[in-house]
Amino acid sequence: MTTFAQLTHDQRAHLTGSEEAGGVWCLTTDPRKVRALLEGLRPAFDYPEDLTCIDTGGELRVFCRLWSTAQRQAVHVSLTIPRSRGHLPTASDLWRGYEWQEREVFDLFGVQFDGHPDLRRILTWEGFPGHPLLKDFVVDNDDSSWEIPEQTDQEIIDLLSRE
Amino acid sequence: MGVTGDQIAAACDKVPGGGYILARLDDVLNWARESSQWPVTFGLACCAIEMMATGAAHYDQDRLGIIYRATPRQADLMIVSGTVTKKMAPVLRRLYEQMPEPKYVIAMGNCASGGGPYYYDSYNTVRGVDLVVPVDIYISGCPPRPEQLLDALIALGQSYKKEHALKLARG
Amino acid sequence: MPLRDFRIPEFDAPEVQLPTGELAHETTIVSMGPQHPSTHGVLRLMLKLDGESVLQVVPVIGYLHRGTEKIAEKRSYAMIVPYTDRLDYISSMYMNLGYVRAVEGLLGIEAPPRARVIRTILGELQRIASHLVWLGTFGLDLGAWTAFIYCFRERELILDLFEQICGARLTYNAIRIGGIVADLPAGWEDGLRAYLTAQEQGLRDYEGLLTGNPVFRARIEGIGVISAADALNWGLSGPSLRGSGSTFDLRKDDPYECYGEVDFHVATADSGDCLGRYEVRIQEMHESLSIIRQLLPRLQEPGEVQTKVPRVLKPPAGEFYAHVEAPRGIFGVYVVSDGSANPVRVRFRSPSFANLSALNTMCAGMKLADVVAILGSIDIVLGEVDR
Ligand code: SF4
Repeated sequence: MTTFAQLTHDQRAHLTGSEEAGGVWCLTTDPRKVRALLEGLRPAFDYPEDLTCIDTGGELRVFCRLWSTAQRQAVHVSLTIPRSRGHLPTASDLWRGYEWQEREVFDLFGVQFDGHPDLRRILTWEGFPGHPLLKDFVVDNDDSSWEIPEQTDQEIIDLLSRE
Repeated sequence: MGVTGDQIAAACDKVPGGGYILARLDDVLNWARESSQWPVTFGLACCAIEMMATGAAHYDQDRLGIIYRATPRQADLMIVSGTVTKKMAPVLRRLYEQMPEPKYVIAMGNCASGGGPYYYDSYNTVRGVDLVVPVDIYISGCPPRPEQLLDALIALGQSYKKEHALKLARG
Repeated sequence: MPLRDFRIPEFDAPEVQLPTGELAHETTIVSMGPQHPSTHGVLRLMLKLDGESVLQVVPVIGYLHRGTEKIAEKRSYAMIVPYTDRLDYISSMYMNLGYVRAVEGLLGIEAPPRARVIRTILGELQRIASHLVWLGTFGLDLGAWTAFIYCFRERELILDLFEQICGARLTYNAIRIGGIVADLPAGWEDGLRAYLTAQEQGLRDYEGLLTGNPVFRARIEGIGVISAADALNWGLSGPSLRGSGSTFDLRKDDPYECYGEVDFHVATADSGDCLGRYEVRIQEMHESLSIIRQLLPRLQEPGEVQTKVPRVLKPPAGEFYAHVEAPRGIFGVYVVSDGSANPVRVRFRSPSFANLSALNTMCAGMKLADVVAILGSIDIVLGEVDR
């Protein structure tokens, strides 16, 4: 049974801040320390509940939520990265469930996850212009075309042809 | 005795064991088309659930001869039930092209008719399926009730009467 | 009279030449969907096959990606509720509930007790309705037409009850920030009681049709096995996870609304295969009926169903994460506010998205026809996978 005090003490080298709010443990860290922090959290927090990103206007905040099924406790890990060419180490080898979540964040926000096994667009298509959930992606409300660039399956076929 | 299209079924009942009925071929063909509309099984979004409900126990559209076919090659009607996205639009277009003539399209729900709740601020929806395929009947509602869908199907069946089935078949 | 003696003539069957060399391990790539009767909407699967055996499955999603999260940034808090209806359109009530709880958390308010009881009942009714759609289509995928007709028969009864409350059959917008749309109409409880009796008979009917059916069982027993540890690692939730033996259920582990006050047990199965997931959902329907029965007496207590909330909601700057156990698993909503009338970000964590991501693992070593059974057993709704 880990307590908040113990956790923050053990992980203090990898944290830039921590607080307990409404029963949830909120940890903040930075891109260089996040991998070590997540590795430290892996044994206790076995369920990858959520991973997403928030465009605050100035920079991007990547947010991840983990759950411990034994302890019934949630932990939030968040960190900020620059808006363009943001890089983060992947967490998909720690929790396989993050494999698609990271693809989604890459697709909608353009965050690169280094070491991800298959970082392709997931909801939009290959060749989609831009990353739609960024605040500076403007939707044309008068656009009434459905003309879109040719969609190919080449990426998937390449993936499947790999041994 | 002249028999018009509407009376064919009744006339057949009156002549048990055979006999000759003279009728316009168009009438016979249109009557057959009207009583066996086969839509392609093709659910896009929420409206598809209402389409399923129309096919199930309570609304029972089988009694009107409406049977879903899983392949567009055997279908003569497409019910576009749901939001068409830009990613889906080319697929929908291809499906439409695979259907044999004569073919009809029902745009079911606000999304298919004109974008619906996703008209504004969505970067990935097509604002109405009529940008992709020609539409014969629009149904409003989000989702439309099964009664509305049945009404549309019956109205479509009625509209066959005005067509020359033979000419359509010749193309 | 002796039966005629059928003698099979001597016959030298030509030796079948099995392919050797290159051809023996040739693989095929098959594209299944987006229009396919058993992909439950617009899912597309790219399959790599060796004969009938599945080597790899790559789901291609996004054919129903409507950009709900982007739209939500341009809407006021109350205007987002109808959009949540259209995420998982088979369990709209629960989508309402998840979002509304997140906003309530942000505002620091709570629904009045009567509204909480009604929400719990509506939630459980929705769970049954959702499982009925699943059961019907799952049977359909495996070639059992009859169950579909039976399931939709009882589902209509639930929809009638919902319709009496909010006027809609599918997209309810019934659970509102701070309460529910209106108090129950007169006579609703009697309708509910009649429904409960009909549903109990209905459950016996479906089980008679499917559970013992040898053809049905042969298609799902031992198919698509995933261990509990793997399932957690992949982020599976709901019946897809509990079919592997895990007891993780937010109704017990992080109770919300009235779930802390009712007595029920979390249905699980140990086999981790399609049959396990099937059994869990069937048991869950029984449990839901029992939860509703326990809450029935509390409907007699009169009270408010809506707390006072301002007309224009401007929650204080901050963030809140709410999660609920929707019929398909954990539905999480993350709302970030900057103090203005529109949220900065609304994130929907969809259970089907995570459940679908494990499809490749479940299909390892299976045959092509089993993919349909496995896909049916994890019960995805594309509206919520793609959002
Ligand atoms: S019209 Fe409404 S119910 Fe139909 S697909 Fe669109 S959002 Fe869903």
